Amino acid sequence: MCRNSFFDYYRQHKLKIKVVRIFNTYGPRMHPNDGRVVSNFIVQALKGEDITVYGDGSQTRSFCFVDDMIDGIIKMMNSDDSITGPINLGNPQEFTILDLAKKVIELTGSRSKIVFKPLPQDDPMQRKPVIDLAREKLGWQPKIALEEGLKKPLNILINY
Amino acid sequence: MKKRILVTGGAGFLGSHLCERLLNEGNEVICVDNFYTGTKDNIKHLLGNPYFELIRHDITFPLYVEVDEIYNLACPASPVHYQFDPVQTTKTSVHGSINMLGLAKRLKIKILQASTSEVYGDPTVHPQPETYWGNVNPIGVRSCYDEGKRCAETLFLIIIDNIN
Repeated sequence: MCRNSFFDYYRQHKLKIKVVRIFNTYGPRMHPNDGRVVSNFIVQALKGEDITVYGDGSQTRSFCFVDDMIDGIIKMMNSDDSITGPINLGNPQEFTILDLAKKVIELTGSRSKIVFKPLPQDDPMQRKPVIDLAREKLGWQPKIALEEGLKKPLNILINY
Repeated sequence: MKKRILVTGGAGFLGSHLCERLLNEGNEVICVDNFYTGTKDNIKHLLGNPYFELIRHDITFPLYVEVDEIYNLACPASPVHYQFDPVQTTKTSVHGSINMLGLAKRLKIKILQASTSEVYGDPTVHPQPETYWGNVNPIGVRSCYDEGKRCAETLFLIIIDNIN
């Protein structure tokens, strides 16, 4: 019933909808002071300030480079009309926040120390997308690994 | 085929990259942003392009433009920004989606909604497939964003049934 009315709507109105669920994304033009973990760590490392890890740093995130994300978003828009989503877009490579802090220190050659602060309310403990749908329906998957991608925004953020 | 494409939140982090890519692919882009968290710096390199048009507009108010496709990316996305004015954050997702869906309906065009992994909240299923309903605190500090985006998904996916 639902599906029938759905396709009737296409025929009558030709409105087509697409929904993507975007997981953590990083890259050039990230706001340096917006409190997001990748930009926070890089700015702190470059300034030689303490790197603030909330909680014990065991919470995980998966980080997708912006170029990969834009590919996925455009592929979704251009996909067959029957594909409405929601479809997850993100990089399934998972890191703990502590791993990320260490990577940023290593990449920047910073002398920053890692300090731990209490976890904010409702901070998710784990995040990792299943991207089977995106692979199957859009032929999309991220190409840029975190180590590679992290070097790119560094160059941009250094200018701030 | 050259298209005229509306990108809301086009001066933001993702939006500016999207505008740039769509222009490079030979499209015309109309970038809409209220510059709450988006910046002119993000798009200044596009301002000289004759196929790029910038409109300062808040999508919680209706917008009428003639386009072939809409990418609805507008909404502050970092906790620091979206928690600064939580009511406006929810309005951007909910009223913004209603306005953009209304425009898409009127023009009979394709519209893409940028939803978020935040719809999964603090997930108890790991990793997260699209079939997982999520674990969101409806009255927590993050809920203005999470619930706004969840409601936007609802609006997108029910509009079809609602109209029939």
